Amino acid sequence: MSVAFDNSKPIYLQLMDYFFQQICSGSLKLGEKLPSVRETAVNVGVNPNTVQRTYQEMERKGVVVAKRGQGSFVTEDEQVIKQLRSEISEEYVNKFVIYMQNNGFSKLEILEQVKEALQSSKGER
Amino acid sequence: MSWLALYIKELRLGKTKFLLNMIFLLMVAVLFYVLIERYNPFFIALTIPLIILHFFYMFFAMLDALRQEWKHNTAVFWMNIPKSGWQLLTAKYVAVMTQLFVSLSLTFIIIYILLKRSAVHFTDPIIPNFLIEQYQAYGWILFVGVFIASLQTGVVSTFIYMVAKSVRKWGWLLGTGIMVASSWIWFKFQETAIYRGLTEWGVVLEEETLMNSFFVHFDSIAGEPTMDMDVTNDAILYVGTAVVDLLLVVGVLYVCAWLLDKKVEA
Amino acid sequence: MDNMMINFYSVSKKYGLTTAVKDVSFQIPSGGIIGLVGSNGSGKSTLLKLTAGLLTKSAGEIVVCGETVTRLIAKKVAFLAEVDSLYDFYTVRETLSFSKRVFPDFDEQKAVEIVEVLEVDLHKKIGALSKGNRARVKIAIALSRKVPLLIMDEPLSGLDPLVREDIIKMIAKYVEMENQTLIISTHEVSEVEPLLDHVLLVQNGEIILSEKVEDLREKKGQSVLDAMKEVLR
Repeated sequence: MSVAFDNSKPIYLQLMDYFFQQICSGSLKLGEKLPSVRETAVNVGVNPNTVQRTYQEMERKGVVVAKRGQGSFVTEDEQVIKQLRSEISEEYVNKFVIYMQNNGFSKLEILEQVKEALQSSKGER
Repeated sequence: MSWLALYIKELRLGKTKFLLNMIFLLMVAVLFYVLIERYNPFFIALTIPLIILHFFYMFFAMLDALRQEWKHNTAVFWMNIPKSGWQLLTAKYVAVMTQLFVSLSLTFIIIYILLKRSAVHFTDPIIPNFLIEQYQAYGWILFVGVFIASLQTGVVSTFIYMVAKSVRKWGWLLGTGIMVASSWIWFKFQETAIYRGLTEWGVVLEEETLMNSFFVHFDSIAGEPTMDMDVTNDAILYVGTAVVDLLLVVGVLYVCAWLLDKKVEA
Repeated sequence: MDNMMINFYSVSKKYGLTTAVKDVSFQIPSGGIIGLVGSNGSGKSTLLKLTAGLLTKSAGEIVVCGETVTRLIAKKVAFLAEVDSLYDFYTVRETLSFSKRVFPDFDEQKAVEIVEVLEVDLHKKIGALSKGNRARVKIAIALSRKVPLLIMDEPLSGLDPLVREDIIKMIAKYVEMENQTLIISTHEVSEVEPLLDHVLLVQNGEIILSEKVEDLREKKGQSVLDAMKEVLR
């Protein structure tokens, strides 16, 4: 696990993004145990307090559930994950659409561009 | 016990130089042995500087033991050890003292063996036999005397080094100055009645006894004394002097330990 | 003031005639990982050594963990020097057992574990180790002392990237976050930035910026480097 951080943005948010990607893409499955705070801190070379904050934030959103004495787990509630995925997609797609429209692209052109981009990036992450 | 760990560390620190010291002594012993056997038994006199060197043994060995910590940057580690300066310094001091003891003992054994060997080569065995007898009877006093004197030179260099590490500029000079001044005061103090009162107990050796042993021998040669030495001022060696000298050593070490805890910089 | 780990009250430090630190006062709270950043010669090392009682102040007062600082603050402060400070005649194993005997707070098991994880040969003499491995052992020893304050003076300087990464991971893994405060000084901040809770910027022996790192990012959208540039401009 390696994450490149942008030092000018809060690291706990960047780390949360990283975990959400893992969860939405299915790398981390429903109900799967997350590495401990200390493990994550060591793996990505981040202050354990920061990791702690990320975990708390993810708990607050209901994506992660802390079980006493056992650690943190991805929620088993599919609804929550669906919600998370749509939130993420909404946020990014909206941003993208507004940006394109501001640059004078028509709806059709935007769709075309997306199709093209999808084709050329087949399967690549 | 942490003091013991520190002591063993100091022995390790000085190991290489101490081995060189031993090798040097043995080589010198062999050299003198050859000189005595081949050329002239009077070469035995060359062993005297060996004893004199030991007066300064502690001075240089302590200086080196301390300098090593700074030279190899281990001073930051050494000074970060949460033990009193007294423990840190005495571990060093006693380790160096152990080396002095071994080195001085070896020297005395060497001299004894060489004396025995040289005796064979004198045409008249009276003088060497007299020397051997004196050595057997009073050698230990010489040993203790040199040992204590060396201990004193050891605290002198320790003190100078501690001041040098406390005061960046001219620390060496300041430390040396203080030592010279306080030595002078100490010599003045030795002339006082208080000093005499403190030290004059426990007679070890009276000058008269020593002189009498001279007479006995020379008398036996010619029937009457060939040498006439005056018993000048009833010189007497006291245990008290040794005890006061040792207390002085402890006192100066204590001041050094205080400096190490409060003033010395890594 | 009681919850402050380090208190400097109008402290000055002169080396002969040159003044390295002039009449500075500041407090450093306890807890977390604190970065002391500043260019070479800014006085970082002097401040840290004053805190550890390895230098003596010329004026003022320094209180660490509620005690006036002398060398004996060593029972509460572990100091990691930038230079190779271990006895080179000891093997790694011997260095650890020596540490166990002279530091009452030393966790030897932890030290052995760290050294083994880093694959440093326990039976080699310190003097025979590579520079990187000497640094690893040195840090393993500092991290194994259960003291309230851990000071690391330039732990990454002069080491190759692999060793630096190891050291950063060791710090993240082995610092007792709940009851230890760690101060790291560095002149290259970006590398340790993700580790830090708090940053202190030093210039001319004075602390001119003291901020929580996530606050900088959240409120100002700045990295520590950005903040440094802004303050130093």
